[in-house]
Order: sequence, then C-alpha cells, then structure tokens
Amino acid sequence: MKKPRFDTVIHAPNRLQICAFLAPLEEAEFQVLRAELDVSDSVLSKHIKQLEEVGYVKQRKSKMNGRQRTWARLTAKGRRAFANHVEELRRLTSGRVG
Amino acid sequence: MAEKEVPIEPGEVQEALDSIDEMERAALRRVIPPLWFGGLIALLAGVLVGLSVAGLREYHVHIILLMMFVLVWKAQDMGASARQMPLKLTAIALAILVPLFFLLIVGAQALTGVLGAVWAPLSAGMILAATVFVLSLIERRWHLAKRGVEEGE
Repeated sequence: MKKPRFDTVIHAPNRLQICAFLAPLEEAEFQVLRAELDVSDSVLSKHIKQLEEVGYVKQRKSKMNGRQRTWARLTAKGRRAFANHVEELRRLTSGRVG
Repeated sequence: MAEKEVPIEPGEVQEALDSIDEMERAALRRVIPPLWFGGLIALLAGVLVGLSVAGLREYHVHIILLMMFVLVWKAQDMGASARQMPLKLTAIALAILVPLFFLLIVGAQALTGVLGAVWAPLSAGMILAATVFVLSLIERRWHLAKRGVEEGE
C-alpha cells in the first residue's frame, strides 16, 4: 500500500527524472539515461551515486563488443519511496494538505 | 532522514508531476520495439513452422538461436528493458499461438498430399507469421494507448 511521503532525496529535479525514467523499466543503460536527462556524465554519476547511497538505485556493469556498459535500476526500496513520493505530490495537488 | 513534512509550492508540485509523466513516457517510448521487429520475429516463427511441416527439424535449433540472438540484441540496442509484462495479453497470445503452432504442423502435414510438398509448409508458415505479426501489432497498440504515447512520437 502506498503511504504518501515527501522524499527530499528523490525530489531534486534530476533525481526525480532518474526515478521516473527507471520506474516503468527493469533497468536502463547509463548513456540512455544521460541522453534523456540531457546532462553530463559527471552530473548523472553524482545523482545516481546519491540515490545508490540511500539504497534506491543499484548499478551493474556489463561488457558488449568490448565496450563497458553501466546499467541502473530502481531497487524495491527505491520503487516504494518513489511511489510514496508521487502519491504525496498528488495529495498536495489535490488540496488535501493536512 | 529523506522525508520532510513541510509542503512545497503548488506550482513546483505540478511541475514535478509533469516531469514524472514526461520521463515515464520517454522510458516507454524506449522499450516499445519498432514495427519491423515484430515482423522479423513473425517471419522467424513462420519459418520454424514451415521447417517442421517440411520435416526439416534439424534446422530448428538454428532458428531458435537466431530468435534468441535477435531478442537479446534488441534489448541491448534499446539500452533499456521493460519491467511490466502485460500478463493478460501474454496469456491470450500464448493460448492462441501454442495450439495454432501444433495444429498448423499436423494440419499441413496431413494436407501435403493435396497442397504439395512446397505449398503445405509455406502456407502453414505464412499463417503463423501473419498471426504473430497481428498479435505484435495488438500488443504494441495496447502499450501505446495505455501510456498515452503517440505512434512515432
């Protein structure tokens, strides 16, 4: 069950976009995320690291055609936190702020 | 702690919700495969049935490996993989495809005398390929409609 809860780690614009992009996916490649967010490698790395530190995102590396690729996915904890955060945002817009 | 109870500006909240919606759509656009991909899988499935009817089962493993390669390659190429499988649609598709697969093989083998050694496998293969392609179109449209993503967006 979703419990509306504002999450300051997720709410930062780039991290919110990362979570929203990963939510309907199993996982996404780092370069795909970077292209969708239109940010630099270092900015994306920084935000993913912050999400990883709180256990919301997990990364894995794979090698294809000799090229190293990094994939990111939302953890179960991350999915719960994101769903709760979205629920809280919806609650705020619907004017049911306690 | 990551949580806070202080409400934020209504404009900022709406902006955040719009941003979430936009990113979720972008993610889904990434994982909905192009039309030609459904066509290719349909063609390979048709070839599989055709080979079975023609009694060339030794080539099955090649087609199955090719199908697996195409599926893995496409997932890698898209740089993302979808999380939710439409279980109901998958179940319906399998309920149609599995019996049809065996029915076509048995039926076409029985009709080889009437249709000929070339037309029997070809007809069976074409029927299955067309069915797989139509099912891929239905699934594609279902995904697009469910998420409000426009075709070719």
